[in-house]
Amino acid sequence: MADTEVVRLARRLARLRAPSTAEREGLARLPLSVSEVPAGYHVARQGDRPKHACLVVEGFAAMQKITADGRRQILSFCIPGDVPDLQSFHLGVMDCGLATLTRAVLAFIPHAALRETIHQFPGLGEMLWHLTLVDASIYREWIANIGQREARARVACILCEIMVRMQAAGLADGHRCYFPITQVELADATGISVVHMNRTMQFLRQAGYVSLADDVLTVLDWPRLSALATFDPTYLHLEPAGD
Amino acid sequence: MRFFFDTVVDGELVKDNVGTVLPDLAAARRKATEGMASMAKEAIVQGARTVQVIVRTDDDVVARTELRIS
Repeated sequence: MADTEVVRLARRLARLRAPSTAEREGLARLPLSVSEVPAGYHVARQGDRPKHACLVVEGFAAMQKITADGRRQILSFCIPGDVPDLQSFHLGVMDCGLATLTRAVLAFIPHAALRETIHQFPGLGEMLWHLTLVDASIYREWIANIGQREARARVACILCEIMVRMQAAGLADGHRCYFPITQVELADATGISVVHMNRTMQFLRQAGYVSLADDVLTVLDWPRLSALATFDPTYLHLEPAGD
Repeated sequence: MRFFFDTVVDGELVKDNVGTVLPDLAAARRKATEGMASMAKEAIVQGARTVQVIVRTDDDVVARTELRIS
């Protein structure tokens, strides 16, 4: 594994605790295949049986379900350091799809090698388990968000979440970060129409909550945005879990 | 073809400066209706009396949909 990928993965896994030197070496020995892919690349489709897990190294991706009549529900946004399809390691079959939203660099970790590494370093297995539990926690928050918050709060919540996750990944500059997500994608993530999303984003801009230009999100007033969203970052489990 | 969807809730106009590329006017009408349904659900609960979606191509208004609660 090249340096960048080890750092990304180790940093993401360290939410539980810092990996030991031996564990980091274990990660570094994982035989990765790194690919650069375009936007809209389907890493895994519903029904696929992947033989590897996908670490996002650069770019954004999304977990998504497509309904029988072709509508897309985005289930979560994936940022560098995430391993969004890790559940396929145990579940075998993909019950949703993973696709890139931007040009992306992906590192594929063969399940077989991951299994060996986990046997050798059970602590890494716990960290990966923790990672999938946090993913599930994010899905729970999204259900509550889509089901109960009004549109402005719903969108504000997603913006807060991305900002905090980018900050935790070391990819934000204060309250400014790369944000390549389009209004159509945000609409598909929040369950409101594109027209309603456009009105909502205009409101958030004009009322001075955020600015969004050239794929850069700047939160101009974090206290007001997080209050509008009733955003509580507990569900992201960024603090070490402790014993 | 790029369509712009301006929205008005109780007279408060928000102009769409992004636009959406759609195959034809019929598709734009469907987007407008979906947008109306999505906005009206909240606006009515919050006490709004009128919701409008105005569909434009650059500067020409090509469709208009309005909901009025009396």
